[in-house]
Amino acid sequence: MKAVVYFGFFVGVALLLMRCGSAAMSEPIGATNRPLMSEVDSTEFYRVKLGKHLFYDPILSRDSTISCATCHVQELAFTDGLPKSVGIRNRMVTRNSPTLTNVGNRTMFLLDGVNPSLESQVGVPIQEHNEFDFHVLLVIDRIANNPTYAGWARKGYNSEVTEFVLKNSIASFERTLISDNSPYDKFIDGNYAALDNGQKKGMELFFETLNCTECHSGPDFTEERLTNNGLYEVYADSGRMRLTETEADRAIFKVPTLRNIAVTGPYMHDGSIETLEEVIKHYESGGHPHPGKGKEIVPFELTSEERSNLVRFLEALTDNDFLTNPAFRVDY
Amino acid sequence: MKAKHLLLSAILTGAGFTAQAQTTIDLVLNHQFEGASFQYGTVYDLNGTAVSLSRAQYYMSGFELTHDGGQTTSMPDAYVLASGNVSSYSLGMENITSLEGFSFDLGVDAVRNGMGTQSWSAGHPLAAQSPSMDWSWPGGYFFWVLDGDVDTDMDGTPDQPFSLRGLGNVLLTDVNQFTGMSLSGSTITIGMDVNIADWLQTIDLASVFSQHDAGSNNQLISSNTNDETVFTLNASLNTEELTLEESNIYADYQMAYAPTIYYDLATANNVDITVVDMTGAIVLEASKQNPEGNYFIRKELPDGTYLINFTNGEINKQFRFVIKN
Repeated sequence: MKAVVYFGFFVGVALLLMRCGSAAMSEPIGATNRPLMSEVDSTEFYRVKLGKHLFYDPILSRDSTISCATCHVQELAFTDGLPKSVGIRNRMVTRNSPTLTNVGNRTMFLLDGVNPSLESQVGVPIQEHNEFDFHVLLVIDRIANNPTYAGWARKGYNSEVTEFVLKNSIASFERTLISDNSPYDKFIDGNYAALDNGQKKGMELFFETLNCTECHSGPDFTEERLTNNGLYEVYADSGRMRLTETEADRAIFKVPTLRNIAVTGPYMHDGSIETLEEVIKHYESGGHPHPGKGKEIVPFELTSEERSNLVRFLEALTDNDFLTNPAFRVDY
Repeated sequence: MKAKHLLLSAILTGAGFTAQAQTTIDLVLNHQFEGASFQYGTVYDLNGTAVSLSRAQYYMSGFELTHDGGQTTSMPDAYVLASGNVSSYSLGMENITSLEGFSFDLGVDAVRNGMGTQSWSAGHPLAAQSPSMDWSWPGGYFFWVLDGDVDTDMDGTPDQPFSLRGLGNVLLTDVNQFTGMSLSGSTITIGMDVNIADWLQTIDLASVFSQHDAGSNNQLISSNTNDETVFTLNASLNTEELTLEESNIYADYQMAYAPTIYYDLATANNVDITVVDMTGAIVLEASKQNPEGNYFIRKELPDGTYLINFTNGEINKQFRFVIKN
């Protein structure tokens, strides 16, 4: 009887995901776009190889002390575990480091979504005073002076090292950071034992009872939009408004993917909430009043058991293969 | 006779023929500050307040030419990154005979503003620049950069930095429409005076500090820009007339570890550039460079004092600058 109930629930989840525009529920978009890295010696192989090594190489920072991987640590789903990241010379970055999980599926970048491409995004930390504090043309000189990198650029792009080579190679590597093998994915693929009962109850809360999918839907659990989640009544960070100067954009931030969310704390744009349980309590409260708060942020009540089950479901989105995949590492 | 020519031209045009030839279109920008020749580091009077600028750069795009009896030709691929110390720019070639008017936009059009510097090969105005003309996080270009200092204690010496950098598609500003021109020849040179002071009118520079955005002060710069302020036609301008009697050289230390040397030399001919350290060893060199331009010290050099030399048969100028990592 229980199995029937769960099968019915599974179908319900499937229908819900399809309504949310999922192309193929058992095959997240990331998986269908997975580059054929078995094609060793292809141009794509060398692009990704170059990009991966540059991702881990501190020569991108002015004093060669930090790399992309400093703030994007694989074991933490390419976040850094800090409320706000730290740049060269211990300079404080103003926001929390975002996960790179399935970042190739994203259509806008930075926490306020103002950057339109992954390639452009690569330039951000290089130039930011509080991050690498460097200049892209000087980075290119450093890379070009490395015969190994220059050789991979030639094989991958039939080109010398250029700004495009730098940015596209790192973006190409980042597009391989695909997470699609969490217990949740296995459950969706038909392995109903991949989730325990508490996680299944949490999943029911997530998809059926609560408003979570108003923002966190689709294969990557994000509607790929921005909202104000009522974190504060008065925000220190103006969010997207800092570029647009539009009042409607005040303190709105991107809805993040929930894949691997259990290992990407602390949470929120400023890392101000330490645990998933506290995040859920924030949403239970309905958030602080703010003129721009999303209409989907409304109060609700959970028992401690329900809250625990919801956390356990979110933990079921952790893909340990992703966190340990040696293909995402450089072993010097 | 003139009427016959016009008639013939009209007939050819109406029959689908064209008698137009490929014509080089050049732009000469005479940068000024309230009538005085503009130079970086010079102290100017702006409505009773002392002001100096350390950097003045801006993008021009969306050029549209009116020519040959009212025809219009767009130049969607012509981009100019203008600098306060540089007067000569090339827009490219078009099939026109007589230029009657033109217009342009201040800034970069929305499509290319979102493409990123990596989309362009080195040397293109939209490629990566030094100092930077883009800020990667918003994925767009600075439509203008006006950095400098303003006098806040009224002692006549600018003492407080300001930095105004327009950012965002909303700031793309039409500069319409310069008419009444009659320029022809194998090379057509459009001469314009650019009064940088006009951009700063009504802005309280003492309260600016650093505004890299589409905010109110950058919106003022946009609204201060039209065909009667900032940009005005000057049909008589040509490059030779703008050749200086004295060379002006200025170091931009925005990146103190890799400064950019702005130069405008008292010669119309190309120069060879060498950078030497204090032992006399050459650390950078470039030959046959324009006599006005921005030379980026694109090499990681140790801390110290260096000399940059500009030489040709006419001039031999040296300038001292410092590297500080």
